Amino acid sequence: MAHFRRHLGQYAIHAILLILAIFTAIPLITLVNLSFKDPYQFNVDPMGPASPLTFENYALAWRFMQDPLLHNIIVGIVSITASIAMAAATAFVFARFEFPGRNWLFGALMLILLVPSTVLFVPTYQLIIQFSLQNTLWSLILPYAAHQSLIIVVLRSFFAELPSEMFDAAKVDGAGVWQLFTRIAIPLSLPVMSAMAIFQIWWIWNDYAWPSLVANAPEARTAVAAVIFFNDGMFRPEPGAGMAAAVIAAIPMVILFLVSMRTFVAGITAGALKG
Amino acid sequence: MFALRKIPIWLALALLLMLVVACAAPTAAPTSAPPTAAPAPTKAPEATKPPATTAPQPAATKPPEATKPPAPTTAAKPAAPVATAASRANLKGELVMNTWRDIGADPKHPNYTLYLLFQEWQKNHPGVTIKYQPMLGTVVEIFGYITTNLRSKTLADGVMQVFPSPAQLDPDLQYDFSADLAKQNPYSANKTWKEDFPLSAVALNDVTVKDKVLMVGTTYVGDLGDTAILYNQEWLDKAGIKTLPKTWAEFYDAMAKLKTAGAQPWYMPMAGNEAYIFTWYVNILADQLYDDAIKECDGAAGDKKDNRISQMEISWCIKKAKLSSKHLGTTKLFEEMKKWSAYWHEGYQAPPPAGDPFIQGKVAFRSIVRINMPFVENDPNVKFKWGSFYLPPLQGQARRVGNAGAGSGSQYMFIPKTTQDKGKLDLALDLLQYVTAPKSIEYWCTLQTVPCYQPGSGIEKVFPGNAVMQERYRGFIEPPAVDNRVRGLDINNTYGQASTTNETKIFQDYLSGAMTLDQALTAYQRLLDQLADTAIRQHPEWNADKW
Amino acid sequence: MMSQELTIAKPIPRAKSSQRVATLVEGVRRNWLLYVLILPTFLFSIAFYYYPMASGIYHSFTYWDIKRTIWIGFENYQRMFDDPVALAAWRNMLTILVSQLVIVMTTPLLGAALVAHLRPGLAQYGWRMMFVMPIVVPATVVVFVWRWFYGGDGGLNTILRALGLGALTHLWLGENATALWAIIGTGFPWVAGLNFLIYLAALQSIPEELLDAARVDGASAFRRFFQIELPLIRNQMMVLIVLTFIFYLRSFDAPLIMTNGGPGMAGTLVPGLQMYRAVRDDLDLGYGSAIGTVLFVVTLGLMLINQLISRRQKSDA
Repeated sequence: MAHFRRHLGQYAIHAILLILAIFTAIPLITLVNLSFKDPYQFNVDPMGPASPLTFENYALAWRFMQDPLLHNIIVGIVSITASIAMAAATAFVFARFEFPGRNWLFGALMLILLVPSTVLFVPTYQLIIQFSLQNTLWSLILPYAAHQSLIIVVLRSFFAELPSEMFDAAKVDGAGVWQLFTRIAIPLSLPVMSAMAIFQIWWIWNDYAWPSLVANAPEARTAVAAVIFFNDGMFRPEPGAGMAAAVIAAIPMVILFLVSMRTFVAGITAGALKG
Repeated sequence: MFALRKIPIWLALALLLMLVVACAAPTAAPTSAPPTAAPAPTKAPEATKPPATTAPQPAATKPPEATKPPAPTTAAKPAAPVATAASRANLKGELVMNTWRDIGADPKHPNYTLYLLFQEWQKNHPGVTIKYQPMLGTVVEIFGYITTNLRSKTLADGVMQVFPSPAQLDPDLQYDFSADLAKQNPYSANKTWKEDFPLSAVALNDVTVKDKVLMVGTTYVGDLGDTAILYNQEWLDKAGIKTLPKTWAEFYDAMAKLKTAGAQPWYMPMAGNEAYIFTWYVNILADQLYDDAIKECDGAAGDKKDNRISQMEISWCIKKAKLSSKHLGTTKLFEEMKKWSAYWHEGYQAPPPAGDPFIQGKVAFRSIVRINMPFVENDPNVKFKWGSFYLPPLQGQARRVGNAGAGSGSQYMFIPKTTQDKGKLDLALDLLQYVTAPKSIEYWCTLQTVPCYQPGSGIEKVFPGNAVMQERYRGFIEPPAVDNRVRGLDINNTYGQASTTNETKIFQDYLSGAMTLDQALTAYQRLLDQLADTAIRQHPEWNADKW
Repeated sequence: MMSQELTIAKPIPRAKSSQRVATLVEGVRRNWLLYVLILPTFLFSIAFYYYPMASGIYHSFTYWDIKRTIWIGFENYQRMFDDPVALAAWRNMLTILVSQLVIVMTTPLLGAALVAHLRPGLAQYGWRMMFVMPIVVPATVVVFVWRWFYGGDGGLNTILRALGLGALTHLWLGENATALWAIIGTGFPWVAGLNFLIYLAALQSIPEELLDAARVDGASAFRRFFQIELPLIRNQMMVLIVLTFIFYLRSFDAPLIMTNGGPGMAGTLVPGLQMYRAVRDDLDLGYGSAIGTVLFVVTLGLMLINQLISRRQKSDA
């Protein structure tokens, strides 16, 4: 009897999860479905399956989305490489060395974690305008590269927990600070770094308000901004193609997730909890 | 402890110094630095092209112009005038042009002629390449783009836009053409460049600030309006409407009949990328309701009396309470909109629906901008008979929005002062002079859907014997539009498109019943005060404290 | 903080007054490479955090449109507090915050608890994937889909009509009564994503012995959940609550994309969006800075309160 009841409980859980999953999936399935409809199918039966499939939507959307995707990739790679390189050096120094002003400086860095991005929004925009960086990829790369305090916190605790013996042995061999950093710290922390890199790229990919303000031109537009723009900014929105653009904007993240599932989940969890 | 504190401050100062150095570096070459920051301009914006053009068109409704092959190189079309000016023979370099959307994307679009002229100019200047940077987005977004990038000094070398906004004109940042206008245009036989502009250079009136001419435009010879109302003949038949409304009462009568017949009588989006349609009807009605205030405010504070309300004049007008929520016209404006809104399409406050409800045959009347006419004309799914008319006057005289009678449908172009600093002024100026030379305008005229004509001719003379085209373009040509445009005592015309968003939102609240008339009027007054105060703050040269 | 010290330079001894400067200079000189290594981080922090913060607060007292800066004292703040629209924006934000707090404490927890109580195996892994996967869809895309969903001919109305509930259809984003709730409802049933992931990780880290002991005592599944599991994941829940608070305090993507703050002046307006519009539409950077500064003060206050509470809890324990 108890056995049956436990089974019943499991079935009930599956049933509830199925309902939740259906509700979760409806909008996403709808998105993919709509992305294959032509404008007239939209009005006849919006929720029904697309038939015939309009692949033109994707051709149209791809023409508009290819540059924004490229921008995202460039901005992502450049800013993440820069921020992680800088943050790793800083975290390493703060974790393993004692020097004048150390606490003072570290406290100053940690203060940043308390500053919400809202107060920075307007003056950073002014900074971008002042230096004529509007509508260049720099307007995205530079502020994103400055987004480091989180990485520093995570890497610093990682470096601090490494056993001293490792470093002592290298020092005996005559390694200086730089060698300790590049030969021991960096190789050991690669998994952590890649987790943080994924968190950064996820965050950058999701950011809408900032790119839509400073990079609203074909030369620098990012993917998610382009999706909204493609739908709202044209005279005649092609609803199906707009949906296709949304799908295209999501695909790189899906691929990244599939190839690096563990790191992805770890990175986002760590980023969220520490932030 | 004292010393310990002091050192980091020194350090901070040193860091700050380095920061300045570091930041100065990217400003030197802002565009060249990221390797892929400059995609080929022709690639992405092609998305603006309506995909429907591949489908066959119904032969019956096909206008004669549409039968012409779209390719610009065919012999059937006149060749663009040769662009060589002896005075500036050796122009070299790359000229970057910001354009209003992608002018090269759609051969059927009125702006495409300008693209052909640009191409011709480039062909005749082998040392020059034109790089196109289309500005995309809603009207508000494009104007926002121009204003912020002008201040950020990141605009292209030349900027082309469909119509100017008084709020964007900035003598500090835009090149002043007045000296060049007094001299001869190398592409023209006229004594001065100014004489090249048809209709006594009426197109330049709007873009002149204190004798500085900040833009030039390719004038359209004719008095074509910028906007008209499309009607769906099938719905008119169903509702038993025999003639198009000529008076406001007839207009309401027609909308009531259409509603009974099951149509959505009037398409009036208050959100999304066509929200400007609403503001244009505010302009049209306000012009009739504020007639007395306009007469009083035109020419105030030492400005020219020119039947146009400038930003300074409206600010004066608000400060002197000539334009206020207490003006009877304001009350009437709000009340009239509310009465009218009973006939607007379903969900006029919500983000616009997918697709175009006029093309889908859902709405009977739809306001349209002339440069967007190709989207309806070329849509294979428009099987019903349609045409256009103009909004009857609420009272007095119905004037037109846009640049009616002042080079309507033309394009305006300006040169940011940064171009001068880059040493590309000659290049940009030469292009603009070529485009505005008489021969180019002639060429321009021959390629327009509506050929150039003598202002006041009437539709029968513009499209002789072509009933289809007469019906389609009647609303843009009749009643005649010479010197018959809204004078601009409203937020949209004077404070710029972005400020209009706030005005629209007040109307939304009043129309939906979220605000009473009194509350709406209070909010409206607050907005007016805010805009006037800001404008006065931006223009110390007005000496507003002495008004 | 300095538990593990691996010093190349010896720690500087606390010298007496006159020697101090000399020791310091010596310390800096000997460790110059360390300063060089942290220099880039500090340069970026100054340029994109410290300077903007100071500049934002300063400029909130000015009229500022890039071309000119005019000191106007508290005028921006006065304008903000006098404006009924601003008050409505804060009220909207409060509604969103409270709703999101309720959401974060319920549905993702429910989903995570259900998955955690499945027997380990392929099915459990599959459900976990099912609810973690949507994290990859950019939030903007989700908002965009939902905007269509809420349209007149959109998905929600279509479903309602198909169910014979045609009377319930609304222009969800075009009516004052529904627009704000529609924005809050975006993402229904709010199970999938980060919150689910964190709850699940917390629940799965609870030692099985604890639950087995309770089972032996005859506690029902519900009692076990509320009396054992829930208290054990309280910390994660607190973290999520704080995160939700901070996120929705400054987030305005959904109102921006869906309604631009409409319908009307304040239908779905939130202070963040008001700031964004002041900047983007009106180029009124001073007013935008004032709104940003108020948001900053509120966020900082909440963070400090949170710190105080968590510290007291720690000292209690």
